[in-house]
Amino acid sequence: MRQLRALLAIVVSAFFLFPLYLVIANAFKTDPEILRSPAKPPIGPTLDGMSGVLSVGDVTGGLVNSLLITGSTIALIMVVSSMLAFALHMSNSWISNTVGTVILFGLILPTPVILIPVFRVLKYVGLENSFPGLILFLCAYYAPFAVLVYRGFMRSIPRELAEAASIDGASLASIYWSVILPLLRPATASVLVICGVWVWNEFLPPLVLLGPLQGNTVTVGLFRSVGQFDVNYGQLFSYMLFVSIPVLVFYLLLQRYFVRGLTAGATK
Amino acid sequence: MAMGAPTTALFAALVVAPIGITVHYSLNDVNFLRDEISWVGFSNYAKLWESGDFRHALYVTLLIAAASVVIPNALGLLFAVLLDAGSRLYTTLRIILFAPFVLSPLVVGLTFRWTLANDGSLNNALEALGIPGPEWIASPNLAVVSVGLALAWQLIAFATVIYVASLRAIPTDLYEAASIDGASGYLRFRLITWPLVAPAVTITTLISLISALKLYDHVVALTGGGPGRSSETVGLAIIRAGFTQNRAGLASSMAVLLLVITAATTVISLRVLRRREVEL
Repeated sequence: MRQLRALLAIVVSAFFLFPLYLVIANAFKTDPEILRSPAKPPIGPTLDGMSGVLSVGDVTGGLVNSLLITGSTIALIMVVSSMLAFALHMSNSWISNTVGTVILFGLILPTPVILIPVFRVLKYVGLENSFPGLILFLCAYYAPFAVLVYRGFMRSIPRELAEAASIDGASLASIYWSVILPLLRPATASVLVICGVWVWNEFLPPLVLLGPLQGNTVTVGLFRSVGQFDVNYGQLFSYMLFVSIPVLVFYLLLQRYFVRGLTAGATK
Repeated sequence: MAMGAPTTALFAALVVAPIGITVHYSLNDVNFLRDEISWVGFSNYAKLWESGDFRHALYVTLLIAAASVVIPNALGLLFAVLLDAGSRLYTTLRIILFAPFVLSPLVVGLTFRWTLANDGSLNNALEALGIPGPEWIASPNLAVVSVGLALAWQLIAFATVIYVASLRAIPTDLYEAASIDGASGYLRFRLITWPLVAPAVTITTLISLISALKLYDHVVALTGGGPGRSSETVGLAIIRAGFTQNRAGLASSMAVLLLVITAATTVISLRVLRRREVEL
Protein backbone atom coordinates (compact mmCIF):
# COMPACT_ATOMS: atom_id res chain seq x y z
CA MET A 1 0.00 0.00 0.00
CA ARG A 2 2.76 2.44 0.95
CA GLN A 3 4.79 1.56 -2.14
CA LEU A 4 1.70 1.88 -4.32
CA ARG A 5 1.01 5.37 -3.02
CA ALA A 6 4.63 6.43 -3.57
CA LEU A 7 4.52 5.04 -7.10
CA LEU A 8 1.29 6.89 -7.87
CA ALA A 9 2.71 10.12 -6.44
CA ILE A 10 5.83 9.77 -8.61
CA VAL A 11 3.76 9.13 -11.75
CA VAL A 12 1.58 12.20 -11.12
CA SER A 13 4.63 14.41 -10.50
CA ALA A 14 6.40 13.09 -13.59
CA PHE A 15 3.33 13.96 -15.63
CA PHE A 16 3.62 17.58 -14.46
CA LEU A 17 7.31 17.59 -15.29
CA PHE A 18 6.82 16.37 -18.87
CA PRO A 19 6.70 19.73 -20.76
CA LEU A 20 9.75 20.95 -18.87
CA TYR A 21 11.50 17.67 -19.64
CA LEU A 22 10.61 18.19 -23.31
CA VAL A 23 12.32 21.60 -23.29
CA ILE A 24 15.46 20.35 -21.57
CA ALA A 25 15.79 17.13 -23.58
CA ASN A 26 15.20 18.69 -27.00
CA ALA A 27 17.50 21.66 -26.39
CA PHE A 28 20.36 19.12 -26.57
CA LYS A 29 19.24 17.11 -29.61
CA THR A 30 19.65 17.53 -33.35
CA ASP A 31 16.66 18.41 -35.52
CA PRO A 32 16.24 14.95 -37.09
CA GLU A 33 16.29 13.41 -33.59
CA ILE A 34 13.69 15.90 -32.34
CA LEU A 35 11.41 15.19 -35.28
CA ARG A 36 11.78 11.42 -35.09
CA SER A 37 11.18 11.04 -31.35
CA PRO A 38 10.61 14.25 -29.35
CA ALA A 39 10.10 12.40 -26.06
CA LYS A 40 13.41 10.49 -26.13
CA PRO A 41 16.22 11.68 -23.85
CA PRO A 42 19.26 13.19 -25.60
CA ILE A 43 21.64 10.28 -26.14
CA GLY A 44 24.98 11.80 -27.12
CA PRO A 45 23.77 15.37 -26.38
CA THR A 46 24.72 18.17 -28.78
CA LEU A 47 25.27 21.83 -27.96
CA ASP A 48 24.36 22.92 -31.53
CA GLY A 49 20.95 24.30 -30.51
CA MET A 50 22.31 26.24 -27.56
CA SER A 51 25.27 27.75 -29.41
CA GLY A 52 23.12 28.31 -32.51
CA VAL A 53 20.50 30.34 -30.69
CA LEU A 54 23.19 32.38 -28.96
CA SER A 55 24.89 33.24 -32.24
CA VAL A 56 21.73 33.93 -34.30
CA GLY A 57 19.27 35.49 -31.95
CA ASP A 58 19.19 38.37 -29.52
CA VAL A 59 19.01 35.95 -26.58
CA THR A 60 21.88 37.45 -24.62
CA GLY A 61 20.52 40.98 -25.08
CA GLY A 62 17.07 39.76 -24.05
CA LEU A 63 18.44 38.05 -20.94
CA VAL A 64 20.27 41.22 -19.90
CA ASN A 65 17.14 43.35 -20.52
CA SER A 66 14.89 40.96 -18.61
CA LEU A 67 17.31 40.82 -15.68
CA LEU A 68 17.54 44.60 -15.60
CA ILE A 69 13.76 45.10 -15.79
CA THR A 70 12.92 42.34 -13.30
CA GLY A 71 15.62 43.44 -10.84
CA SER A 72 14.63 47.12 -10.89
CA THR A 73 10.91 46.35 -10.71
CA ILE A 74 11.08 44.06 -7.69
CA ALA A 75 13.49 46.38 -5.85
CA LEU A 76 11.10 49.28 -6.39
CA ILE A 77 8.04 47.19 -5.44
CA MET A 78 9.73 46.07 -2.23
CA VAL A 79 10.46 49.63 -1.10
CA VAL A 80 7.26 51.42 -2.10
CA SER A 81 4.73 48.72 -1.18
CA SER A 82 6.20 48.00 2.24
CA MET A 83 6.06 51.77 2.85
CA LEU A 84 2.40 51.91 1.83
CA ALA A 85 1.59 48.82 3.90
CA PHE A 86 3.26 50.41 6.93
CA ALA A 87 1.39 53.69 6.40
CA LEU A 88 -1.90 51.76 6.16
CA HIS A 89 -0.98 49.74 9.24
CA MET A 90 -0.32 52.86 11.35
CA SER A 91 -3.15 55.08 10.17
CA ASN A 92 -6.88 54.75 10.54
CA SER A 93 -8.05 57.83 8.61
CA TRP A 94 -10.67 57.64 5.86
CA ILE A 95 -7.96 58.35 3.27
CA SER A 96 -5.89 55.33 4.26
CA ASN A 97 -9.00 53.14 4.47
CA THR A 98 -10.05 54.20 0.98
CA VAL A 99 -6.57 53.62 -0.47
CA GLY A 100 -6.42 50.23 1.26
CA THR A 101 -9.71 49.16 -0.30
CA VAL A 102 -9.22 50.60 -3.80
CA ILE A 103 -5.77 49.06 -4.16
CA LEU A 104 -7.28 45.59 -3.56
CA PHE A 105 -9.16 45.94 -6.86
CA GLY A 106 -5.77 46.02 -8.58
CA LEU A 107 -5.48 42.30 -7.70
CA ILE A 108 -8.17 41.28 -10.17
CA LEU A 109 -7.38 43.65 -13.04
CA PRO A 110 -6.64 41.86 -16.37
CA THR A 111 -3.67 43.56 -18.13
CA PRO A 112 -5.28 43.69 -21.60
CA VAL A 113 -7.95 45.98 -20.10
CA ILE A 114 -5.62 48.92 -19.41
CA LEU A 115 -2.60 48.60 -21.71
CA ILE A 116 -3.88 50.97 -24.42
CA PRO A 117 -4.42 53.91 -22.00
CA VAL A 118 -1.26 53.03 -20.02
CA PHE A 119 0.67 53.57 -23.24
CA ARG A 120 -1.07 56.97 -23.66
CA VAL A 121 -0.30 58.00 -20.07
CA LEU A 122 3.37 57.01 -20.46
CA LYS A 123 3.52 58.89 -23.76
CA TYR A 124 2.08 61.95 -22.03
CA VAL A 125 5.01 62.01 -19.58
CA GLY A 126 7.55 61.04 -22.26
CA LEU A 127 8.21 57.50 -20.98
CA GLU A 128 6.66 55.51 -23.85
CA ASN A 129 8.88 52.84 -25.43
CA SER A 130 11.30 53.03 -22.49
CA PHE A 131 12.51 50.72 -19.73
CA PRO A 132 11.59 53.19 -16.94
CA GLY A 133 8.02 53.42 -18.29
CA LEU A 134 7.64 49.61 -18.31
CA ILE A 135 9.23 49.29 -14.85
CA LEU A 136 6.92 51.91 -13.34
CA PHE A 137 3.86 50.23 -14.85
CA LEU A 138 4.83 46.75 -13.64
CA CYS A 139 5.52 48.18 -10.20
CA ALA A 140 2.07 49.80 -10.07
CA TYR A 141 0.46 46.62 -11.40
CA TYR A 142 2.07 44.24 -8.87
CA ALA A 143 2.05 46.62 -5.89
CA PRO A 144 -1.44 45.48 -4.73
CA PHE A 145 -0.20 41.91 -4.29
CA ALA A 146 2.94 43.05 -2.43
CA VAL A 147 0.88 45.35 -0.20
CA LEU A 148 -1.45 42.43 0.59
CA VAL A 149 1.47 40.19 1.63
CA TYR A 150 3.09 42.94 3.72
CA ARG A 151 -0.15 43.92 5.44
CA GLY A 152 -0.93 40.32 6.30
CA PHE A 153 2.54 39.93 7.77
CA MET A 154 2.36 43.21 9.70
CA ARG A 155 -0.67 41.97 11.61
CA SER A 156 1.81 39.93 13.64
CA ILE A 157 3.82 43.06 14.51
CA PRO A 158 2.19 44.93 17.41
CA ARG A 159 1.39 48.53 16.62
CA GLU A 160 2.69 49.43 20.07
CA LEU A 161 6.21 48.61 18.92
CA ALA A 162 6.22 51.49 16.44
CA GLU A 163 4.31 53.72 18.84
CA ALA A 164 6.86 53.12 21.60
CA ALA A 165 9.67 54.07 19.22
CA SER A 166 7.84 57.24 18.21
CA ILE A 167 7.42 58.25 21.89
CA ASP A 168 11.19 57.93 22.16
CA GLY A 169 11.33 60.65 19.51
CA ALA A 170 12.08 58.61 16.37
CA SER A 171 10.44 59.83 13.15
CA LEU A 172 8.04 57.53 11.33
CA ALA A 173 10.50 57.15 8.47
CA SER A 174 13.33 56.10 10.76
CA ILE A 175 11.06 53.67 12.64
CA TYR A 176 10.11 52.12 9.31
CA TRP A 177 13.73 51.85 8.23
CA SER A 178 15.36 50.62 11.45
CA VAL A 179 12.54 48.76 13.24
CA ILE A 180 9.90 47.59 10.76
CA LEU A 181 11.82 46.75 7.58
CA PRO A 182 14.18 44.25 9.30
CA LEU A 183 11.16 42.52 10.87
CA LEU A 184 9.53 42.21 7.44
CA ARG A 185 12.37 40.13 5.98
CA PRO A 186 10.36 36.90 5.44
CA ALA A 187 7.53 38.84 3.77
CA THR A 188 10.10 40.65 1.62
CA ALA A 189 11.56 37.32 0.50
CA SER A 190 8.07 36.19 -0.58
CA VAL A 191 7.38 39.44 -2.42
CA LEU A 192 10.73 39.35 -4.23
CA VAL A 193 10.50 35.75 -5.41
CA ILE A 194 6.81 35.78 -6.41
CA CYS A 195 6.85 39.18 -8.12
CA GLY A 196 10.24 38.33 -9.62
CA VAL A 197 8.85 35.24 -11.35
CA TRP A 198 5.71 37.08 -12.50
CA VAL A 199 7.62 40.09 -13.86
CA TRP A 200 10.17 37.88 -15.63
CA ASN A 201 7.39 35.92 -17.35
CA GLU A 202 5.34 39.01 -18.25
CA PHE A 203 4.78 39.13 -21.99
CA LEU A 204 2.03 41.52 -23.09
CA PRO A 205 3.20 44.65 -21.17
CA PRO A 206 6.76 44.57 -22.59
CA LEU A 207 5.39 43.73 -26.04
CA VAL A 208 3.10 46.76 -26.00
CA LEU A 209 4.98 49.26 -23.83
CA LEU A 210 8.55 48.75 -25.12
CA GLY A 211 7.77 48.74 -28.83
CA PRO A 212 10.06 47.22 -31.44
CA LEU A 213 13.00 49.66 -31.16
CA GLN A 214 14.00 49.37 -27.51
CA GLY A 215 15.28 45.81 -27.51
CA ASN A 216 13.27 42.85 -26.25
CA THR A 217 12.77 41.02 -23.04
CA VAL A 218 13.36 37.26 -23.38
CA THR A 219 9.64 36.51 -23.54
CA VAL A 220 9.02 38.99 -26.37
CA GLY A 221 12.15 37.73 -28.11
CA LEU A 222 10.92 34.12 -27.83
CA PHE A 223 7.53 35.10 -29.26
CA ARG A 224 9.07 37.02 -32.18
CA SER A 225 11.44 34.18 -33.02
CA VAL A 226 8.82 31.42 -33.16
CA GLY A 227 8.18 31.92 -36.88
CA GLN A 228 11.87 32.42 -37.54
CA PHE A 229 12.89 29.13 -35.94
CA ASP A 230 10.13 27.01 -37.43
CA VAL A 231 12.78 25.09 -39.33
CA ASN A 232 15.26 24.88 -36.46
CA TYR A 233 13.66 23.16 -33.49
CA GLY A 234 16.86 22.61 -31.53
CA GLN A 235 17.32 26.38 -31.37
CA LEU A 236 13.66 27.00 -30.44
CA PHE A 237 13.88 24.58 -27.49
CA SER A 238 17.22 26.10 -26.46
CA TYR A 239 15.57 29.54 -26.47
CA MET A 240 12.78 28.20 -24.23
CA LEU A 241 15.40 26.75 -21.90
CA PHE A 242 17.11 30.14 -21.63
CA VAL A 243 13.76 31.77 -20.76
CA SER A 244 13.06 29.11 -18.10
CA ILE A 245 16.42 28.60 -16.34
CA PRO A 246 16.47 31.88 -14.38
CA VAL A 247 12.95 31.46 -12.94
CA LEU A 248 13.55 27.81 -12.12
CA VAL A 249 16.79 28.58 -10.28
CA PHE A 250 15.17 31.50 -8.46
CA TYR A 251 12.23 29.29 -7.50
CA LEU A 252 14.33 26.33 -6.36
CA LEU A 253 16.51 28.55 -4.16
CA LEU A 254 13.59 30.38 -2.55
CA GLN A 255 10.68 27.94 -2.99
CA ARG A 256 9.93 27.97 0.75
CA TYR A 257 9.14 31.70 0.56
CA PHE A 258 7.24 31.29 -2.70
CA VAL A 259 4.71 28.89 -1.21
CA ARG A 260 4.55 30.78 2.09
CA GLY A 261 3.72 34.07 0.35
CA LEU A 262 1.02 32.52 -1.82
CA THR A 263 -0.56 30.69 1.09
CA ALA A 264 -0.42 33.73 3.38
CA GLY A 265 -4.15 34.13 2.83
CA ALA A 266 -4.94 30.42 2.67
CA THR A 267 -3.70 29.04 5.96
CA LYS A 268 -3.91 31.95 8.38
CA MET B 1 0.04 58.54 5.05
CA ALA B 2 3.02 60.41 3.54
CA MET B 3 4.94 57.15 3.30
CA GLY B 4 2.18 55.65 1.22
CA ALA B 5 2.25 58.49 -1.30
CA PRO B 6 4.67 57.01 -3.89
CA THR B 7 2.69 53.78 -4.34
CA THR B 8 -0.64 55.58 -4.21
CA ALA B 9 0.50 58.05 -6.89
CA LEU B 10 1.91 55.29 -9.12
CA PHE B 11 -1.24 53.22 -8.73
CA ALA B 12 -3.47 56.22 -9.44
CA ALA B 13 -1.54 57.25 -12.56
CA LEU B 14 -0.91 53.83 -14.10
CA VAL B 15 -3.90 51.74 -12.97
CA VAL B 16 -6.82 53.89 -11.80
CA ALA B 17 -6.52 56.65 -14.42
CA PRO B 18 -6.15 54.13 -17.28
CA ILE B 19 -9.39 52.44 -16.17
CA GLY B 20 -11.14 55.83 -16.41
CA ILE B 21 -9.56 56.48 -19.82
CA THR B 22 -10.69 53.03 -21.03
CA VAL B 23 -14.28 53.84 -20.05
CA HIS B 24 -13.95 57.20 -21.84
CA TYR B 25 -12.49 55.61 -25.01
CA SER B 26 -15.25 53.00 -25.04
CA LEU B 27 -17.80 55.78 -25.65
CA ASN B 28 -15.79 57.28 -28.51
CA ASP B 29 -14.39 56.52 -31.91
CA VAL B 30 -10.64 56.72 -31.34
CA ASN B 31 -8.04 56.96 -34.10
CA PHE B 32 -4.51 57.35 -32.75
CA LEU B 33 -2.92 57.45 -36.21
CA ARG B 34 -4.82 60.62 -37.10
CA ASP B 35 -5.09 61.75 -33.47
CA GLU B 36 -8.88 61.93 -33.74
CA ILE B 37 -11.47 61.19 -31.08
CA SER B 38 -15.23 61.62 -31.53
CA TRP B 39 -18.16 60.85 -29.22
CA VAL B 40 -20.33 57.93 -30.33
CA GLY B 41 -22.19 57.08 -27.11
CA PHE B 42 -22.89 53.38 -26.67
CA SER B 43 -22.50 52.40 -30.30
CA ASN B 44 -19.23 50.49 -29.62
CA TYR B 45 -21.12 48.33 -27.13
CA ALA B 46 -23.93 47.85 -29.66
CA LYS B 47 -21.32 46.65 -32.19
CA LEU B 48 -20.03 44.10 -29.68
CA TRP B 49 -23.51 42.77 -29.13
CA GLU B 50 -23.97 42.30 -32.90
CA SER B 51 -20.53 40.78 -33.48
CA GLY B 52 -20.63 36.98 -33.72
CA ASP B 53 -16.84 36.89 -33.37
CA PHE B 54 -16.91 38.76 -30.08
CA ARG B 55 -19.78 36.69 -28.68
CA HIS B 56 -17.75 33.60 -29.52
CA ALA B 57 -14.64 35.04 -27.82
CA LEU B 58 -16.74 35.76 -24.73
CA TYR B 59 -18.15 32.23 -24.80
CA VAL B 60 -14.66 30.70 -25.09
CA THR B 61 -13.37 32.85 -22.22
CA LEU B 62 -16.28 32.01 -19.88
CA LEU B 63 -16.11 28.31 -20.76
CA ILE B 64 -12.40 28.15 -19.95
CA ALA B 65 -13.02 30.15 -16.76
CA ALA B 66 -15.68 27.66 -15.60
CA ALA B 67 -13.43 24.68 -16.37
CA SER B 68 -10.50 26.44 -14.65
CA VAL B 69 -12.45 26.78 -11.44
CA VAL B 70 -13.72 23.18 -11.33
CA ILE B 71 -10.76 21.14 -12.61
CA PRO B 72 -7.83 22.66 -10.64
CA ASN B 73 -9.88 22.62 -7.42
CA ALA B 74 -10.90 18.98 -7.84
CA LEU B 75 -7.59 17.57 -9.09
CA GLY B 76 -5.56 19.88 -6.85
CA LEU B 77 -7.28 18.53 -3.73
CA LEU B 78 -6.99 14.95 -4.97
CA PHE B 79 -3.25 15.26 -5.70
CA ALA B 80 -2.73 17.11 -2.41
CA VAL B 81 -4.23 14.22 -0.44
CA LEU B 82 -1.89 11.91 -2.37
CA LEU B 83 1.18 14.09 -1.68
CA ASP B 84 0.41 15.09 1.91
CA ALA B 85 3.10 13.13 3.71
CA GLY B 86 6.18 14.10 5.66
CA SER B 87 8.97 12.01 4.14
CA ARG B 88 11.69 13.49 1.97
CA LEU B 89 10.31 11.81 -1.17
CA TYR B 90 7.02 13.69 -0.87
CA THR B 91 8.71 17.01 -0.06
CA THR B 92 10.78 16.64 -3.23
CA LEU B 93 7.77 15.65 -5.33
CA ARG B 94 5.88 18.73 -4.12
CA ILE B 95 8.75 20.98 -5.20
CA ILE B 96 8.77 19.31 -8.63
CA LEU B 97 5.03 19.48 -8.99
CA PHE B 98 4.88 23.21 -8.38
CA ALA B 99 7.49 24.00 -11.06
CA PRO B 100 4.91 24.39 -13.89
CA PHE B 101 3.42 27.40 -12.11
CA VAL B 102 6.66 29.39 -12.34
CA LEU B 103 7.23 28.69 -16.04
CA SER B 104 6.43 31.35 -18.63
CA PRO B 105 2.95 30.80 -20.11
CA LEU B 106 4.56 31.25 -23.52
CA VAL B 107 6.92 28.34 -22.88
CA VAL B 108 4.00 26.25 -21.58
CA GLY B 109 1.92 27.14 -24.64
CA LEU B 110 4.74 26.24 -27.04
CA THR B 111 5.49 22.88 -25.38
CA PHE B 112 1.78 22.05 -25.49
CA ARG B 113 1.69 23.01 -29.18
CA TRP B 114 4.51 20.55 -29.71
CA THR B 115 2.96 17.79 -27.59
CA LEU B 116 -0.53 18.16 -29.08
CA ALA B 117 0.54 18.44 -32.74
CA ASN B 118 -0.92 15.85 -35.12
CA ASP B 119 2.27 13.77 -34.95
CA GLY B 120 3.11 14.95 -31.41
CA SER B 121 3.87 12.90 -28.32
CA LEU B 122 0.26 12.65 -27.14
CA ASN B 123 -1.06 11.28 -30.43
CA ASN B 124 1.94 8.96 -30.73
CA ALA B 125 1.17 7.61 -27.26
CA LEU B 126 -2.53 7.20 -28.13
CA GLU B 127 -1.61 5.43 -31.35
CA ALA B 128 0.61 3.01 -29.42
CA LEU B 129 -2.51 2.14 -27.38
CA GLY B 130 -4.46 1.63 -30.60
CA ILE B 131 -6.54 4.80 -30.29
CA PRO B 132 -6.48 7.15 -33.30
CA GLY B 133 -5.44 10.62 -31.99
CA PRO B 134 -7.66 13.57 -32.93
CA GLU B 135 -6.46 16.84 -34.48
CA TRP B 136 -6.06 18.81 -31.26
CA ILE B 137 -5.00 22.21 -32.55
CA ALA B 138 -6.45 22.12 -36.05
CA SER B 139 -10.05 21.43 -35.03
CA PRO B 140 -12.10 24.41 -33.75
CA ASN B 141 -13.52 22.73 -30.62
CA LEU B 142 -10.41 20.83 -29.57
CA ALA B 143 -8.30 23.99 -30.03
CA VAL B 144 -10.31 25.54 -27.19
CA VAL B 145 -9.83 22.36 -25.12
CA SER B 146 -6.07 22.48 -25.82
CA VAL B 147 -5.81 26.07 -24.58
CA GLY B 148 -7.83 25.15 -21.49
CA LEU B 149 -5.52 22.17 -20.85
CA ALA B 150 -2.37 24.31 -21.01
CA LEU B 151 -3.80 26.76 -18.48
CA ALA B 152 -5.21 23.97 -16.27
CA TRP B 153 -1.82 22.26 -16.21
CA GLN B 154 -0.31 25.35 -14.52
CA LEU B 155 -3.32 25.96 -12.26
CA ILE B 156 -3.49 22.34 -11.03
CA ALA B 157 0.16 22.65 -9.98
CA PHE B 158 -0.69 25.81 -8.08
CA ALA B 159 -3.82 24.33 -6.49
CA THR B 160 -2.04 21.16 -5.36
CA VAL B 161 0.62 23.09 -3.48
CA ILE B 162 -1.94 25.42 -1.86
CA TYR B 163 -4.05 22.42 -0.77
CA VAL B 164 -1.02 20.56 0.60
CA ALA B 165 -0.12 23.62 2.72
CA SER B 166 -3.71 23.75 3.91
CA LEU B 167 -3.86 20.02 4.73
CA ARG B 168 -0.57 20.16 6.61
CA ALA B 169 -2.02 22.88 8.84
CA ILE B 170 -4.88 20.64 10.05
CA PRO B 171 -4.03 19.27 13.54
CA THR B 172 -3.72 15.46 13.41
CA ASP B 173 -5.45 15.00 16.77
CA LEU B 174 -8.71 16.05 15.09
CA TYR B 175 -8.48 12.97 12.87
CA GLU B 176 -7.42 10.79 15.80
CA ALA B 177 -10.35 11.93 17.90
CA ALA B 178 -12.72 11.29 15.00
CA SER B 179 -11.27 7.81 14.45
CA ILE B 180 -11.71 6.96 18.13
CA ASP B 181 -15.33 8.07 17.81
CA GLY B 182 -15.61 5.62 14.92
CA ALA B 183 -15.86 8.05 11.99
CA SER B 184 -15.21 6.42 8.59
CA GLY B 185 -12.65 7.79 6.10
CA TYR B 186 -15.43 9.45 4.15
CA LEU B 187 -16.91 11.08 7.26
CA ARG B 188 -13.51 12.31 8.38
CA PHE B 189 -13.00 13.94 4.97
CA ARG B 190 -16.53 15.38 4.90
CA LEU B 191 -16.50 16.74 8.47
CA ILE B 192 -12.85 17.70 9.04
CA THR B 193 -10.83 18.02 5.83
CA TRP B 194 -13.38 19.69 3.55
CA PRO B 195 -14.43 22.45 5.98
CA LEU B 196 -10.86 23.16 7.07
CA VAL B 197 -9.49 23.56 3.54
CA ALA B 198 -12.13 26.22 2.80
CA PRO B 199 -9.55 29.07 2.64
CA ALA B 200 -7.55 27.05 0.08
CA VAL B 201 -10.72 26.64 -2.01
CA THR B 202 -11.17 30.42 -1.92
CA ILE B 203 -7.66 31.31 -3.03
CA THR B 204 -7.52 28.59 -5.72
CA THR B 205 -10.88 29.66 -7.12
CA LEU B 206 -9.95 33.34 -7.26
CA ILE B 207 -6.51 32.81 -8.82
CA SER B 208 -7.98 30.39 -11.40
CA LEU B 209 -10.84 32.70 -12.26
CA ILE B 210 -8.60 35.74 -12.72
CA SER B 211 -6.00 33.81 -14.74
CA ALA B 212 -8.67 32.42 -17.06
CA LEU B 213 -10.48 35.72 -17.63
CA LYS B 214 -7.29 37.50 -18.65
CA LEU B 215 -6.04 34.57 -20.74
CA TYR B 216 -3.72 35.76 -23.52
CA ASP B 217 -0.18 34.31 -23.50
CA HIS B 218 -1.17 30.62 -23.60
CA VAL B 219 -3.47 31.21 -26.57
CA VAL B 220 -0.96 33.23 -28.58
CA ALA B 221 1.69 30.53 -28.14
CA LEU B 222 -0.56 27.52 -28.64
CA THR B 223 -3.13 28.34 -31.33
CA GLY B 224 -2.78 32.06 -32.10
CA GLY B 225 -6.57 32.15 -31.64
CA GLY B 226 -7.13 29.72 -34.52
CA PRO B 227 -8.17 27.84 -36.51
CA GLY B 228 -9.91 30.93 -37.84
CA ARG B 229 -10.96 32.67 -34.67
CA SER B 230 -12.32 29.60 -32.94
CA SER B 231 -10.03 29.73 -29.88
CA GLU B 232 -9.83 33.51 -29.58
CA THR B 233 -10.33 34.85 -26.04
CA VAL B 234 -11.54 38.31 -25.02
CA GLY B 235 -7.94 39.26 -24.17
CA LEU B 236 -6.88 38.44 -27.73
CA ALA B 237 -9.88 40.26 -29.20
CA ILE B 238 -9.00 43.43 -27.24
CA ILE B 239 -5.38 43.47 -28.40
CA ARG B 240 -6.33 42.70 -32.01
CA ALA B 241 -8.97 45.44 -32.18
CA GLY B 242 -6.83 47.97 -30.32
CA PHE B 243 -3.45 47.45 -31.94
CA THR B 244 -3.78 45.46 -35.17
CA GLN B 245 -6.95 47.18 -36.37
CA ASN B 246 -6.36 50.57 -34.71
CA ARG B 247 -9.90 50.59 -33.27
CA ALA B 248 -9.14 51.67 -29.69
CA GLY B 249 -12.76 52.67 -29.03
CA LEU B 250 -14.12 49.24 -29.89
CA ALA B 251 -11.26 47.52 -28.01
CA SER B 252 -12.02 49.66 -24.95
CA SER B 253 -15.67 48.63 -24.91
CA MET B 254 -14.53 44.98 -24.82
CA ALA B 255 -12.10 45.90 -22.04
CA VAL B 256 -14.82 47.54 -19.94
CA LEU B 257 -17.05 44.51 -20.39
CA LEU B 258 -14.20 42.15 -19.38
CA LEU B 259 -13.48 44.29 -16.33
CA VAL B 260 -17.14 44.25 -15.24
CA ILE B 261 -17.34 40.46 -15.70
CA THR B 262 -14.08 39.94 -13.77
CA ALA B 263 -15.16 42.20 -10.91
CA ALA B 264 -18.65 40.65 -10.69
CA THR B 265 -17.51 37.01 -10.76
CA THR B 266 -14.67 37.51 -8.28
CA VAL B 267 -16.79 39.52 -5.84
CA ILE B 268 -19.62 36.97 -5.98
CA SER B 269 -17.31 33.96 -5.54
CA LEU B 270 -15.45 35.71 -2.74
CA ARG B 271 -18.74 36.34 -0.90
CA VAL B 272 -20.01 32.79 -1.36
CA LEU B 273 -16.68 31.19 -0.40
CA ARG B 274 -15.97 33.50 2.54
CA ARG B 275 -19.37 32.69 4.00
CA ARG B 276 -18.41 29.03 3.90
CA GLU B 277 -15.20 29.86 5.77
CA VAL B 278 -17.08 31.80 8.46
CA GLU B 279 -19.67 29.10 9.10
CA LEU B 280 -17.07 26.64 10.42
